[in-house]
Amino acid sequence: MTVDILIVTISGIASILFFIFHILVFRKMKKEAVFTGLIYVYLFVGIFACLLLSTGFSFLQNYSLVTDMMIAILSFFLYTMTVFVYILYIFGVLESSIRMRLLHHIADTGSKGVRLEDLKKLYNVDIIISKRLLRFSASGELILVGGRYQRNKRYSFIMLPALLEVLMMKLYTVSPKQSLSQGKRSKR
Amino acid sequence: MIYLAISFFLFGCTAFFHVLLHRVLTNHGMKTFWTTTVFLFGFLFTFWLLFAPLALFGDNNRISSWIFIPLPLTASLSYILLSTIYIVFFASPYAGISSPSFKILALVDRYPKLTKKEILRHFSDGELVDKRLHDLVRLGSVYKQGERYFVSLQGKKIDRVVDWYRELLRWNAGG
Repeated sequence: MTVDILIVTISGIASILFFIFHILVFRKMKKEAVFTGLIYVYLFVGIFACLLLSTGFSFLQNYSLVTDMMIAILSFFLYTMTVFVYILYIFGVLESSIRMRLLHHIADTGSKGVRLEDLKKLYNVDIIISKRLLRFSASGELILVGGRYQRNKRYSFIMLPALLEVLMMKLYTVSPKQSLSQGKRSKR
Repeated sequence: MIYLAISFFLFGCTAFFHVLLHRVLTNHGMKTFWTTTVFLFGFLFTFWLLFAPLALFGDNNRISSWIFIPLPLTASLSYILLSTIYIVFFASPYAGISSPSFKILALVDRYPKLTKKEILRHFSDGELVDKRLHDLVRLGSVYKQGERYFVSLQGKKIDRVVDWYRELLRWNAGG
């Protein structure tokens, strides 16, 4: 159980450090470079905290090198998932959520309220896509050559959630055709 | 490590069951987000399975191989985190809304060298604004009176939290 508690403790400390560091770093950096900033803070804090803390604790507890490695890898794994949950549930929602931006614009109008056409003058497809293209360019995901966007990196951290979303869409989307044929079968 | 393997296996089984359950219910016109509670039951079973041997036989200190080191806490936490991540990704197909960021990457992957105009052609206000505004109304953060949209008390509270967080990061606007 000691090893188990150690893994959870180290990943917890690393996650708290990530939260503190990302606030400190983001207060100083350009908003457009958000992806790069997140990845650097995640890697820097994760590798240092998990490696140093696991080595330190293993030394104090007289653990073997294999156990030390296992503690470091598993605490890094837990830390990675905790950071991912934070990005998906809090950071992503607050930083890039269209719903939050719409809510902010409506809240700004107070008791006067806003008509859909006026809301779309403040926030529309052009603004939403331009912001994302700017962010992708700043983080190096896309490059702009002669007015045309192209991928800069074939594989990157950002592609993982993108691929997951595609997979989930395929797994969960029931096409009307399929639904209809199954309905007919059940009638027979 | 065997504990983690058990946790991953049970998570995989729960996810598989969830896909089947969602598809069956959707086919019968009973689409609901409550299907995600299967992950809670999956977790309770995993937790019991991981902690039961320890409760029955105690912590075996004679275990020499790293493969059999008991890691019930790590394995349970992994199950919770994996389920939490999974539920976020399930929300996209459930709501029928995909992320515009991922769609841009997929577009540039499929058709390299696109201009901004060509990218914009794949999006619409209806998809990006109207659908999400409808969601806000459905969730009670915003309400509609006549032609105008107003923020509700709940929406105001959410907006204040978001503002506080943006101030913490010194960012003026999101979205």
